Amino acid sequence: MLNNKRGGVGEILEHFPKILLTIAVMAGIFLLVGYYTSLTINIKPVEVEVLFNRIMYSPNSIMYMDNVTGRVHPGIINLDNFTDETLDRAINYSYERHLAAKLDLYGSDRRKLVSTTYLNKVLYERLEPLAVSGQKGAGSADIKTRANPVIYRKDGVNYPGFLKISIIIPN
Amino acid sequence: MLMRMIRQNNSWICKLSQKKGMFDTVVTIFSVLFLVFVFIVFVFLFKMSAKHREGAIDSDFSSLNTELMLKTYLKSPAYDLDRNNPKDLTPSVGEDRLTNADLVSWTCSNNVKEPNYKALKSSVNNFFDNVYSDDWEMWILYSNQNIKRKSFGHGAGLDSIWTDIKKGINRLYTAAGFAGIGNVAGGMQGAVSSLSLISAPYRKNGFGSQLIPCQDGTLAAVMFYSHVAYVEVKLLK
Repeated sequence: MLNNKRGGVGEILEHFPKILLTIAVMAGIFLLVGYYTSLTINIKPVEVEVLFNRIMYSPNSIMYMDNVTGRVHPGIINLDNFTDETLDRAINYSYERHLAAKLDLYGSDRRKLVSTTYLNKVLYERLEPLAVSGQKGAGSADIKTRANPVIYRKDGVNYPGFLKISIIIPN
Repeated sequence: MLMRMIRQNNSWICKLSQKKGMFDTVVTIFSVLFLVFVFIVFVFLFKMSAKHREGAIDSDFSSLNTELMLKTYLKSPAYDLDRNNPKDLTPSVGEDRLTNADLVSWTCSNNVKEPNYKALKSSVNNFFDNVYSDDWEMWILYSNQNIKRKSFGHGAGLDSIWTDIKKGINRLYTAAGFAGIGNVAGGMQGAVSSLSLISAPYRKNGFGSQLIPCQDGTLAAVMFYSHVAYVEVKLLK
């Protein structure tokens, strides 16, 4: 009887490393799968990139376009088109809560503000305080800012400058 | 389950140890239940960790941003024109203000003492040092093999790209040689070199390349590399 009991315990002890190994393998598989898996995808960087490129490359937006050839000159801002109306007409959605942006055009000395324009100004001004303060939640937004050297065209003459674009992405 | 052979009444009887068998069965059932429990715990942990992890789509559009920067540089009015006093070689063409592209087009030679080259060098350094500080490098290569490469900026970002370009040049020369048009001494050498500049690896991230025609009809390729594509916003404050 005593021998039998010893045999049973021994068999359990024999199985113990196998159970541990199984758990370790399972843990490894889950950790690896979990490491490379996410259930939510953040598309805000892509939204920012697409909006930036729409502003810089669209023929009907703020960039200078040769009326004869129809060629757009990316990076050359036509100051006559640097208005809220032009941007709102070029990037138009059927609903209000889409991306909003503020465009600050500086001179080559980086201090003199030449002009400012907005895309979706109402929403920008409403969400900017929340986004800047870093408020979370569905009613808030994220703000991304970038700057580029550009040329602005005024009265047919090109001037060097810098364009600062602040883009607000509603949550 | 333990099996024993016992001799009883002149016959062998096979006797099974029922108690031991039951014990083993219970251990097996509990082991399976334990494994299932561990599995459920892992699934729960996996869901929890995956829920809180946020994946972001890579938004770098290859060399698009650097290309835009390089184009802006080439179209910009040149800096420091008063100090270097460059000579307008095409006074009847274009606008009054000289652009950086003009200076590139007018310096397709090995003469580094002419005013146009000095103006170009000053303008390049002014523009990109302002924007990138010391994280940039620019080369100008020429399809005319007699003109030496011109290098500006800091770092060695273009070295690896140049290796790829050289491979492309060698492949084109080989192909042209098989076709009987790539004789080094022949007139097609310039065309092959031009083709090799056009086929630069423009998709590499942070790398920009633009072609500018020289006055003699050959090509100059402006190649640019930087790790970042945008100006630091703090510079504008």
